[in-house]
Amino acid sequence: MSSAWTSSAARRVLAVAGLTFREARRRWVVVAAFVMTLGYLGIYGTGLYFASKDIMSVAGGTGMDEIALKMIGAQMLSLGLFPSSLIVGLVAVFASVASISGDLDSGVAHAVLTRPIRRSELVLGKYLGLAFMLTVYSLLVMGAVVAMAVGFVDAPTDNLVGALALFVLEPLVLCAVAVLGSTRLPTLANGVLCTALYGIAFIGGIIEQIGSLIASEVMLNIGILTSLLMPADAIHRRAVAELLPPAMLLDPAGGGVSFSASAVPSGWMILYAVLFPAMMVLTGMWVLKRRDL
Amino acid sequence: MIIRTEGLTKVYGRGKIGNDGVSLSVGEGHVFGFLGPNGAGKSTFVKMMVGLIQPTSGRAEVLGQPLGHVAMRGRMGFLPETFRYQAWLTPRELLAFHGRLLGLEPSAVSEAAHRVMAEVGLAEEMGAKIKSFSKGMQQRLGLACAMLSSPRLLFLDEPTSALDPLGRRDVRELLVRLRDRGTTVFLNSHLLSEVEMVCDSVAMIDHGRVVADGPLAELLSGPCEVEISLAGPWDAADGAPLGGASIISQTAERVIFGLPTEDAIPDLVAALVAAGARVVGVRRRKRDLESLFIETVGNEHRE
Repeated sequence: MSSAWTSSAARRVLAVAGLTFREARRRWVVVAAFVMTLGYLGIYGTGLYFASKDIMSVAGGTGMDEIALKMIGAQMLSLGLFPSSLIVGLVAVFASVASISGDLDSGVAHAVLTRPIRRSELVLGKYLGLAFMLTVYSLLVMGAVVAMAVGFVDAPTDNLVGALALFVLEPLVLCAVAVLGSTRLPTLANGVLCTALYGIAFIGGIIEQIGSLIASEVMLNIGILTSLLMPADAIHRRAVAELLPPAMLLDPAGGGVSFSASAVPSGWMILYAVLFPAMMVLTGMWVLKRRDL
Repeated sequence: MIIRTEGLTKVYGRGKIGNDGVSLSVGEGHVFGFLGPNGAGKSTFVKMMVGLIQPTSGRAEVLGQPLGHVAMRGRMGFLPETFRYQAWLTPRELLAFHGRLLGLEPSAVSEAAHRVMAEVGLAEEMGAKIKSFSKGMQQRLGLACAMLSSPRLLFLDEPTSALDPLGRRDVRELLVRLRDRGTTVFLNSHLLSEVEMVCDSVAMIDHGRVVADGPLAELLSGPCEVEISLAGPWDAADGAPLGGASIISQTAERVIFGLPTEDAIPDLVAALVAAGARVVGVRRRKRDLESLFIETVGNEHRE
């Protein structure tokens, strides 16, 4: 393969990625998600604002110590993280489920794929365009949640950069699965499958956390197995743990451990999750290459 | 030969046959008409040629390259039957995108875009949203897009299906201009009169098999009918040597002869005159593509 071919291949991938990004911004599912996200962030921010006023007045009266205040802040941030990344994850799925199948159904893909472009270049371009949009979107959403929690209730943040990187990785994983599905499945079936996988990962995560609390080997393994199938929830749990180490989430009232941070996925699982999108996209390339269109 | 296939066969899932041993050759610079009833396998063949589906067996070369050759597609244009383009783009943006896929420089794309849009009569619509286009305009845009790379070989799958009669005439003229410039056009169509007007060679396909193939003039030659008007009665029993001609029908002043080829017409007329018949009119009843099509394909369908 000559370098001239490689660079022209890169240009074609970027052409597809650019168009995909522009198209994604226009899709009503993305626009609707954006509006909903703003609404959600508004409610979360308002809640934090009033919470902070109450905490301050209560703390002022009782002389609550700083550690306890930090813990409350951490708890409030932790409360905001899960729904935020759930929204981001669903946007990732629904922005990507039709990426290839939609163009095949409409016939747009036929005009494109009869150009001197490889099918793998189309798949890669589609993924990169969506991934770029989702990176920007998830950074904005998760960044806003963290910023508000820090600003209003002085939430602690441990490894902020690492956590944000993982929060970005989560939609990229979901997007890659949806792109793979769209190379073979009809859009609707793909959407159902991806959402189901996301749900399975979430339930697997809960099973793993309970398993970790009651020291059940079987439950832990079920959790790990579902994370291998779909690492989105494992990434989320690790991201939360990076941002708010479990020690910070001990209930100041002396109760148990916050739900979302127990059973922190290992570094190996995170490495797997980093490689996961590439595996999905490569599989998607392979599937589309073999298909009659 | 710009296209050459040998025994090209496509069997879809569940054993449905798309193409069954199609062997075709298309010469450079021709307008080639590929005819057949709906579902006969026309689109299957074109989709194999442009690399959208893979043949089950057989061999094929397009522009001197095996099927699926990626770089070769830069010298080829394709208007799909179900043409659809990103409706939210303008033609300028659409053509710029396709230009990038073709590896053209932006300035070259812009120039080519204006050229092809003018060619299909959409020069004024460069900045309008494609979604505002009528179906006919979208089809013209599809033609423009297919011509963007100044291809040596152009595949058009039912290029006039959405056009009104004027639009069809425009496309016919466009095809002739393209041929005059040396472009080979592979035209899938079931509009026989249209094919007859522009094509140099044709192939007919039915149930996935090629049932007729050759230069149009050759296919339309062969047995023909001549209607001869006479002043005064004439009796075949007079014993005029009629060569290979047979009388199909006869009235007092008009006889219709069947002849093996058109070349036999002058001899027939000469023989009649020599036999004393007073010939006042000779009208060749042209064998057209429609009658050929019905003879070749229609009979089988009546089975």
